[in-house]
Amino acid sequence: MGIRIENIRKSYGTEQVLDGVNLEITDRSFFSVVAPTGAGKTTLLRILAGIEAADSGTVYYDGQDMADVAVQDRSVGMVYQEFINYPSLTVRENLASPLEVSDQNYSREEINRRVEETAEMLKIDHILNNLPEEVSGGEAQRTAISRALIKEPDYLFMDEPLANLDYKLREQLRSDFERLFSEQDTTVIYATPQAGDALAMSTHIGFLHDGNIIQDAPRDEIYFRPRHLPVAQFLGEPPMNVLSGTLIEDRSGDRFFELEDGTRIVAGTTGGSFPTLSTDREYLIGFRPQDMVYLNGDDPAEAHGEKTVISPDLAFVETVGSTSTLHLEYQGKEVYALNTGPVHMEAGSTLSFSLDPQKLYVYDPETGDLIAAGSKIPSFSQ
Amino acid sequence: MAEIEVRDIRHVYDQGTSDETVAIERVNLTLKDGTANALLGPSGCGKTTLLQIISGLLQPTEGQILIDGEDVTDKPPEERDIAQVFQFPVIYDSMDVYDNLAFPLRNGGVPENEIDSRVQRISDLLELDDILHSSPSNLGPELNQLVALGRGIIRADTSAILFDEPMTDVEPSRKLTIRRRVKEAQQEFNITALYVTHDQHEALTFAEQVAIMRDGNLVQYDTGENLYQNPVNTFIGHFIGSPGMNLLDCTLSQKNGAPHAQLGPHSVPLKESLHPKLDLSWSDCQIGIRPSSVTVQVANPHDEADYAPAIVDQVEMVGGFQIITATLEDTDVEVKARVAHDFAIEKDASIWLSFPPDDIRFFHQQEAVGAA
Repeated sequence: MGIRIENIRKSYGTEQVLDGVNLEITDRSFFSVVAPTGAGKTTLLRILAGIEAADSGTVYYDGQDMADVAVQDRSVGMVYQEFINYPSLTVRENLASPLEVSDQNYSREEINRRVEETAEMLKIDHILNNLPEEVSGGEAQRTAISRALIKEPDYLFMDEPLANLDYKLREQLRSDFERLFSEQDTTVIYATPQAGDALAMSTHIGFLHDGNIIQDAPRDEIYFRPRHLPVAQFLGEPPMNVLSGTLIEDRSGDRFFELEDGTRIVAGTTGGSFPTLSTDREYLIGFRPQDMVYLNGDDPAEAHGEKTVISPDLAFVETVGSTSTLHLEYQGKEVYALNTGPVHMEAGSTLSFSLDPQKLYVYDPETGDLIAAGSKIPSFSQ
Repeated sequence: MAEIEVRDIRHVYDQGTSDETVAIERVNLTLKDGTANALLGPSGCGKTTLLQIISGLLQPTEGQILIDGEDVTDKPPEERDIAQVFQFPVIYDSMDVYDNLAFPLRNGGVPENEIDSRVQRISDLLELDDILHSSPSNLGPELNQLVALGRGIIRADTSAILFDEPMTDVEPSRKLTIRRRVKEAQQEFNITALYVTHDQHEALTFAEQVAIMRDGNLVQYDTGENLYQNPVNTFIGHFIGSPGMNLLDCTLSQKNGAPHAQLGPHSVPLKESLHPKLDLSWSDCQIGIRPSSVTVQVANPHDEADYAPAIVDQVEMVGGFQIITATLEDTDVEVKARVAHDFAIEKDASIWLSFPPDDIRFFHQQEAVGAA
C-alpha cells in the first residue's frame, strides 16, 4: 500500500515549485516531508492526495496510476493546520459524519463501534457529547484527526496539524502520534517545517529543497547520515556546525584539518580515518552541537591528546532545565554547542571543547555533498 | 525604564451576567526595573488578560497597576509609555525601515540629528543596517518583528515593553537567531520586559524570572533554574521541562529504618533531608524526577542496588536527545529517561533504571514536600 511518484512537476506562473520529484513512500510508514515554509510541502501533499493536479508526472498508490481516480474515490484522510470540525455537531456527531455520508451504508452499530474505538484511541472518549467550542484546542485537533481516521483510510495526509497548538499539547500529541501510528496499518504522510516534530514521530523523512526531495531515508539514517549540507543543517536542534579547513598530513603521518586561523582539527592517521580524502584540499567539516564536549576546568591539551580542542568565545547562553545551548563565536562564524547542565559563564569568556575526530562529517565545498564521516557515527546498510 | 507592580488584580468578564467568567482570581506581581520577565501558561490561564490590563487596553475589575509607584490603573494606554510587540508585526508598509524606527521619535518632536544617532544604535544592535532603506513589505515576518521591537524600544522614556507571543510568525529555523537578538537588546538597554508565551523554551531563554499562571492564578514566579529544580507542585513539574518531570504515583514504606517511595515492588530511597517531613500513612503521593536525572543501564547491573528493571515502550528524538519511555517491571509505572542522541537503544529492549535520591522531589496531594 505504498505510494510512488515519478517526475512530478508543478509551477505557479513562472515559479517552479516542484521540479521533477521522485519519491517512494513505504507501506505503513510515517513519512515526513520536511522543508522551510514556502518550499512546496503543501503542494506536494495536495498532489499526492489528488486534491491538486501536477503539471506532469505520475502518482501511484500500491502500484496503480491514480491520474483518473478522484479524491473522493481514494482511501485517503486529510488533517490540516486549522482544525476543521462542524461547530453545530457534537464531537460524537463529528466523528460519525464521514461514515453517515458515505455511500457504503454503514450500519448504526458499525458507526457506533467505530466512533467509540476511534475516540478511545485518540483519547477524546470523555468529550463525545460536547460541542467543538466546548473543548480545548488539543481536543479539537484530536477530533479532526479522528474524523480523518474513522473511515480507516489507507493513507492519511497531515499538513502541519500541530502548528496551532500549545507547546505542551504539541509535545503530548507528538508522543501519542508516534505510538498510535506505529500500531496502525495507515500510511501517514506528514508535512512540517519543524525538524523536531519530524524527528520525534517519523519512521522516514524526506527533505524538500529547491523543488526536489534531495534525500529520503529512514529517520535515523537521514539524521546520522545527511548526504547534503542543507539536510544536515536543517535536521538538528540546534543545527550542525560547519567550518572550512584544508586537510594536511604531517611527516609522522598524522592528519588534520587546518582552519583559516591555523587551528588544527585532528583527523586521525593515514589509513585510519578519512582515508579516501586527498590532502592539501579544502573541505567543509561538520559536527553536531551535542558532540562538542565542554571541558570544564580540565587542562584541555593534556587530557585529550587524541582529540581536537577548540576554544571559541561564548556569545550567549540559553539554559532550559538541564540543557544549555551555547552560542559561540569561532573565526567569525556562529557555532553551537549543546551541554547537559547549566553553564554559568559570562558572555565573552573563552571556553574549551573537545571534538572526537570519529564524530566529524566531511562535505564537499563545491557540491555540499557528504564525502566522509567518522567511524563513531552510526552507519546504515544501503 | 521602570518598575511595574501588579497589585491585587482580579478580573471577571461579563460580571453579573450568565456568561460571567473569572479570568484572573487575584494576582500580585512586581517586575523590577530593567529585568526580563516572562508570563507563561496554557491557553486560557489568564495571561493575555493580565497583559492587556498592564498595557491599559483592559480595565481590571479590582486592583491596581503601578509604574514606579504611581497608580496608572485609570490611565489610557498612550499615557503609560509602555511599548508592545504583538503576535504579528504592526509596522507601516508605506515607510521604509528607517522611517518606521524614527516614527515614535518624530512624533515626540525629537531633533533629527538625535533621531539619527538613536536609529543607528538600534540598527546596530538588531543588525538592521542592510535593510534600513527597504520597504517592510519586502522583508519576511521575522525582520518585520525586529523592526517592531526596535520601534518599541527607541524612545528613551519607554517604561517597559510587553511582548505577546512575538515568535508566532517566525520561521522555526530562524527562531534561535531572532531570540538572541531580542534578548541582547533587552540586556543592552536594561529594558523592563514582560514576554507572554505558551512556549516554555521562549520564556526560559528570555527571562530571568518566569511567572507561571494556571486557571487565573499565579502559581510560581521564579528563576528558570528553580522552576526546573524545585517546582512548588506537580503542575509546574509537568509543565516545565520537555518532556516534563516524571510524576510517579507511590506509597511510603519503611526499609532499613528509613522511609522509601514504593513503586509496586520497587523501593526507591529518598534523601535524608526529606525523611522527617514524610508521614508513612499518607496517600496521594508522587515522586518527581527529571528524565535527564534518571540513570539508564543497558547491561544488568547485578550487584548494584537500587536499579529497577524496565522494558522500553518508545524511543523518541526530542530536542537533540533521545527520550526513552519504559515501564518498570511488574508495574504499570511509565518512566521517561533522557539519553544522548546516538545512544544505541530499541523499543522492547530490557533496561535498568535508577533514581538518584538527590534528584528526587516528593509531592503530597500535588504539593511539593520540603522544598529546597
